[in-house]
Amino acid sequence: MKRWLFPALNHLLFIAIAVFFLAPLTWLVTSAFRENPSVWVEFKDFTLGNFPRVLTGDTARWIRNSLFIALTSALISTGAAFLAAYPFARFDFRGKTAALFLLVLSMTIPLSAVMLPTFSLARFLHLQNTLFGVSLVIAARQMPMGIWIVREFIASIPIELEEAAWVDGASRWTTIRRIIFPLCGPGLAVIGLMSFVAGWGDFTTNLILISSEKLYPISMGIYKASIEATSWGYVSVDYGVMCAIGMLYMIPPMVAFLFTHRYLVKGMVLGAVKQ
Amino acid sequence: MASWLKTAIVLGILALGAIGAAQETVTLSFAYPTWFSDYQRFVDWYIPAFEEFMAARGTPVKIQVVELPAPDDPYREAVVLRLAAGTAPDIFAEDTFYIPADSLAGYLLDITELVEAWEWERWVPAARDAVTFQGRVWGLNRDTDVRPLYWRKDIFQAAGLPVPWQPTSWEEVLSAARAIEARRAEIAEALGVSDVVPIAVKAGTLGGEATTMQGFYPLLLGAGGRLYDPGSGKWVAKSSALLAALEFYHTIYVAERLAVDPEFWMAGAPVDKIHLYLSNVGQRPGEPALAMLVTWDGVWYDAANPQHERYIPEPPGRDAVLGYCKWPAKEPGSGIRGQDFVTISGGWAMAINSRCQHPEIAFEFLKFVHSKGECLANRLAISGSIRLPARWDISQDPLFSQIATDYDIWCSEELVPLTTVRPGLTEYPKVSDLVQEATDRILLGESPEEVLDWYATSLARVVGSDNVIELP
Amino acid sequence: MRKRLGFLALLMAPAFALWATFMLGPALWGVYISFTNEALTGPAAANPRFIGIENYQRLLHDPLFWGSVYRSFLFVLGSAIVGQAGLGLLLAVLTSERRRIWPRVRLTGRLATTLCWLAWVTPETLIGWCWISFLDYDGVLNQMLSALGLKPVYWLVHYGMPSIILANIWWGTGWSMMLFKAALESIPREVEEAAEVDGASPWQRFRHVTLPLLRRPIGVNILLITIWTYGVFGLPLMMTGGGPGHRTELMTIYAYKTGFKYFEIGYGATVSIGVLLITLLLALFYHRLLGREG
Repeated sequence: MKRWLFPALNHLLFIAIAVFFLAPLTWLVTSAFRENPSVWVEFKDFTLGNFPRVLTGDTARWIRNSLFIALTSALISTGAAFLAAYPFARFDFRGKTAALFLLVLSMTIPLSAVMLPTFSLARFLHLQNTLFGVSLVIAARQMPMGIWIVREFIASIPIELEEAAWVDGASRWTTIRRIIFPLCGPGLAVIGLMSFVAGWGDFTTNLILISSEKLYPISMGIYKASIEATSWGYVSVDYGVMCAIGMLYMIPPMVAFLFTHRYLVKGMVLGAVKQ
Repeated sequence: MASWLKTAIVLGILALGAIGAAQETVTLSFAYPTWFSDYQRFVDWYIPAFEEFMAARGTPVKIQVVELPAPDDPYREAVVLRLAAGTAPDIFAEDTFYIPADSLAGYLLDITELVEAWEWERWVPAARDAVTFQGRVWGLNRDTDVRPLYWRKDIFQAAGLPVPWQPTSWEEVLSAARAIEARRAEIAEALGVSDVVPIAVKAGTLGGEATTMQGFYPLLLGAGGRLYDPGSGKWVAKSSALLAALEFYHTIYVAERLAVDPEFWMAGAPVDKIHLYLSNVGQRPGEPALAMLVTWDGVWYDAANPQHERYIPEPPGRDAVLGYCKWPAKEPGSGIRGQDFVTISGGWAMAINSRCQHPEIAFEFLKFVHSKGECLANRLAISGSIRLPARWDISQDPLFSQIATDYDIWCSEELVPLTTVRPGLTEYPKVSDLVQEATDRILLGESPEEVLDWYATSLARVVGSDNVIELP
Repeated sequence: MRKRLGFLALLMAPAFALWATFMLGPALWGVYISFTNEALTGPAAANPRFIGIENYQRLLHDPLFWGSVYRSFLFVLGSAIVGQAGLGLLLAVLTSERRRIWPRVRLTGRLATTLCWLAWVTPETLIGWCWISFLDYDGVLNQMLSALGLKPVYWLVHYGMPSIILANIWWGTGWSMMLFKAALESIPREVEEAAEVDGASPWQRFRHVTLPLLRRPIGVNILLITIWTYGVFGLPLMMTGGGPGHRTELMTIYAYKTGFKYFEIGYGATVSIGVLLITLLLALFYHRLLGREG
């Protein structure tokens, strides 16, 4: 009896869990493919027409703004983290342990705990209501993790490679550019992707810094639509387009995390996973 | 140097300066609520016309419209954040009850001298009070509004109630609601709507200021009470009128369930939704219809505007379906000042940012928009846009009485004499938030006495325990 | 030497500038403005003043603050510790490729883990959008209930806390699952095989061999997700906005409302200090746990 019962119970449990994770997506997925969807889940009026419409009007602007935030924050945090990781990997200097400690510590402060001072600071720096301000905040928040990851990458590059070049008269800056940078490629890609995803999905930074609708990224667009649409049933919101952009919105993080989640696990829990 | 030469040089420099200034276009940013019925008119008419007018006078001006989020609360948030950041528009509209706080914050330009040099004496005293704080003027208003009780003639008829109708006490309101409740399903089927809701009173924090102004205040005033006691200069923590208002909420939402579900007010954009219920005559068969609601008069004008989502299609059309009457005091004579009926007025004003680089030009725009001619023209173009004019020279103009509808005349003859305003104090917005939360608490099942205790404690915390008073 | 130091400083300058401005800066600035009455409107907007510990005194006697502390604690306990860690561990263990029946349940197992992972990568506001569409009065859950002939329920109003807890479990479980899977894989096969040779049942093996070896990763992860969950803000803001009344008002939401709805920046920062302190304490603890490892 046990031979079939146990796997069957397993199947059942897995299916229950799958249903739990699928259920909230039901309406989103079905409505994205419907012409003029209502709040009801119905399998009719199938169309693909909502997807091209995403690229017009407000949603096109949301996508542009999200892309801008994601790309600039990826560039800034990757660049800064790469440069700063080198000294951490190659030198011993006073305060290094303390600096690393502070980095890890600061990594854990949620933005929501410093929302008001971040707003107040951005106001002071005239970065309020600018996309660049949003990028800077996101890049800064991603950087400590970036430094951790690149530091490990650099440390794994044999120093002999660099030494050989120094003997030939290359400066440190040259070896950083010519040797370290290319060999760190995968590490940089990981940080770049992570920051891209952080910028792409960010809500809180935008909520506190962005006030004009022209600068809304996708997250703010969806947030605003959700407020307007929670009188669910009154269609000042185009559900079809909203659900289509919702589905498209998931794709970049999906792709990015496929590549990065292992590093993320390693970075966040460091040695704790390894025995 | 000969004095004539000096004069000539000075004049020459001045002339050159004037030419230089004339060539440089001044840009002013401007924010106006996008959900107001005359928003489009600003974009299509006022702004181009003003730009032309100024260009002809040799001062080219460009007015740049800044779109801010809708409705009231998000708009307010956006304005305040921009004011604080120093990036607010040069000219912006704001609900008059924020004027005290914003003027104290130094955000608004003091326009007292400017208005006094213009036509300020033509504003009625109540309109002046609305934009005056600590003796100074901080904005210009074109009109004010009043709040009648709207009721649905078709539903009343179907429930066997008298049409026309004017209740004289809360009990009469409730008995009408009970009569509708008794035949709810039957009437709904006849109308082709999903349900018939006998009555609604705006409630909850999500309703924002609408909850206070159109929900709680009519009740409070009808029971003879106020939020602020001008006699003692203190906020009222407890009074029988406060309790009576809370009890009315309790009756219709909890005890007798004559209204929409209490949960209605706790998600999404309930104020928009309730107005759609009021105008549903079957054009939205999946939604309920609402029989009675105190609200602001935009609802009335929009119901006759085919472009608007609150439009009541013809036939039957607005006038056959939507009735209006005065909101009664709890019992005849129990309202404030011993009135039998009560209402309250609010309104928006246009203010100039204190950081505006060209205050005189900004004020020219205010003058342009608030001039008698333009106000009349606006009223002609958009019904309901200038509701109860702030300027008496408009109400007295023969043209205005020609274009005024029965409804407008009824409002100014019947409601204006009854009306009152919110306390113009810095703390008012915070007290208003407490009122909204108090209604939330009733809806969530707390008893009126419990909520009143909570209100008294919270009020003392918000305005200071020295600034509250308990009245019988 | 001097030159080398200069070079190091140059390399680290951009990162340090960013970090100091946008991570250290706000934390310190937050502490500073919590001692002022900075506001966005009213008299204090024109002349913010240093008011000493007034905000903190007010905080101590603010029932809304203590209510939010309690709700945040419930939220963390329910969604992170019990929900995400529990469900994550369950999924990780049940889908371990070392299980003997794994080949026979691979299909549904992979389905469950993939969907769980998918939820984890979904952007915050989209999760809010989905969960509102699921739990709203006209939402999917009530549509299913009506189809079964049951009465619809105002889930977000009457079951606000359970709703946001459930949504957060949905969101975060993927992370814990991945982490526990990695930890499970790093357990040497020989250890488990030795136990098997000794005749231990699968449950005994898990209870006495695997679980003790997982103790540290579990501990570290619980700490980590506790810190994160204290900071969760956007999702509950979207789903319930802290309402009805204050029934789902977490610390982060209370701080946000104080600042951006009531425009009291100084006091809002004081409320945030509560979140900051809790997360910093936990973070120190987390760092010590990691440090012992290295």
